[in-house]
Amino acid sequence: MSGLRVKAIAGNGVLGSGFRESSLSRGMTLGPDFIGCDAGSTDPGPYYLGAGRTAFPKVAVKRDLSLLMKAARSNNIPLIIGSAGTAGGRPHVESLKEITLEIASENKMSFKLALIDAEQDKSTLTELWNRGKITPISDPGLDYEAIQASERIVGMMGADPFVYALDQKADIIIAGRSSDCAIYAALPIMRGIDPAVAWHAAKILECGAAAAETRSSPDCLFAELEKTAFEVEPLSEEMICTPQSVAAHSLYENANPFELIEPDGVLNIADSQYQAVSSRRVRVTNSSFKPKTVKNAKLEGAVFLGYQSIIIGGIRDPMIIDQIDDWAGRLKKRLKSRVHDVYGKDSPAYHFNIAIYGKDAVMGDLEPIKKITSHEIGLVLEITSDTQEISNTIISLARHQALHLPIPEWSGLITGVACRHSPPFLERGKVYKFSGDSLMETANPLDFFPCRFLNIIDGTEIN
Amino acid sequence: MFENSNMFNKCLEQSILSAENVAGIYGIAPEKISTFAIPLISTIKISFPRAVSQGDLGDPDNHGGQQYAPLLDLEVIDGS
Repeated sequence: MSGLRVKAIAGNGVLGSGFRESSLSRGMTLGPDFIGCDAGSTDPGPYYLGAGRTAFPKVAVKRDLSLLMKAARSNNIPLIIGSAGTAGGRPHVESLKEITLEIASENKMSFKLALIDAEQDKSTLTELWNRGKITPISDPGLDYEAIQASERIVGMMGADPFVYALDQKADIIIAGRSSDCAIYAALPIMRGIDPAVAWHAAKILECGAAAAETRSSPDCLFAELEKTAFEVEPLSEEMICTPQSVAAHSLYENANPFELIEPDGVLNIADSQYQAVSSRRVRVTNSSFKPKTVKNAKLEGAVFLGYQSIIIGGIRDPMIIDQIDDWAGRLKKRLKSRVHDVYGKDSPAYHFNIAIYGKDAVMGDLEPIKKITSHEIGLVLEITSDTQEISNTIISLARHQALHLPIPEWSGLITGVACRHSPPFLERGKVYKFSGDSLMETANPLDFFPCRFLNIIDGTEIN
Repeated sequence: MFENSNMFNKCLEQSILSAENVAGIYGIAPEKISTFAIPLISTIKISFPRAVSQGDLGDPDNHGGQQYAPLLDLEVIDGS
């Protein structure tokens, strides 16, 4: 191979999930041009976006980030991190910035840090909605009402904000919500790699060693991009990539496995060719990429639903199990009446959900097996209301009603639920839902994803 | 994903994972189901929309990680 070449290391699929230090060291001997790492996802659900919290523990994130920063800085190559702090909003970028500065200070490191904001202000979004620049892509999407109701909204950036930060000579980039692939596509595109190659390689890199045949644990992946092809291999000697494992990775996280929609365009991999070049390295050719005429960004919002309290328990009595649907229906009725007794005509609104493990708690209406065959069932009783106080009160009422709910087969007072804990209920705090998805036109993406820079010298921020 | 193309092809020939069959198993309308056959990796991918949005009240499976289980009871006839 000769000519244009860009080499990339992916730390892992999500910052804080771990990788082997030996894999990163091996990767560094191969002369990488940059290291990338995704630090977020919607996988853990809407809570993190809504509450401004992060899913992975700080010490785990710091361990991974520290190794990646040291590797990147000692070789003077960029470290590019996207979807900071799980959800990629302002508190999430801020939290990862703090960890980065802590590592810099402890190791007296010097670098130019780029921070890219992905949070979108409601006033701007409302104005864009009124101008028809926001299009719902789910039912319901993130529409006018959802914009107003959302606690926080982020846009998913494509490659442009990363390209800008790299152009400005950033050494470390911490970006808010990003397309996972944009993290890895930006630098290769800047260097002149064909966008189809850059985006397809990025798609394989973004989950780290997940594209290996058997990923024994989260780990690093290495890719070498040429102008019109790329090769990929896992950095742990114990893992291998096969044409099947790399092709199969395209199935992951996409409804349509042939067309991958990115903020910058659509990657088509229906005709891609996967060829083994060694027992653990695969060469990929023949992908295509169609740029969008107007770039756009997916919007993600989280709406506050209320405060939740839950009880975990179980039932072993076969007569109660036999009539569990009826039992649950009667429990709901009795709770309603009890709440009315306690609160009177100003009874608060609440949502009561009963999940029955051993019946259909995992699949709900999709469960094809209707008959319970288990000798015991698990129960999660869930109350959601406007305040923690109300949810705690109502879950306590529900506990007492459930505990002694009569069934016709027994006379006298029964205790029909085994409660797991004392106190019996758990405060779950604030809960959120996603507010639906929309696409926002971003003719100039830099207007929507502004970048600021910090100069760090010997671990201290210099203005 | 099938271990070999032989079983993958038999599964397709026998329409085991057709939209109609899958719809019947999950009790949803066949129009809601997208299926993709990918011979290169002897794989059939099935997608359908969630009834409840991820993480909303009543969503039983945040990652949608266990919804494949009923398909494990299907049998492909391995006769030649």
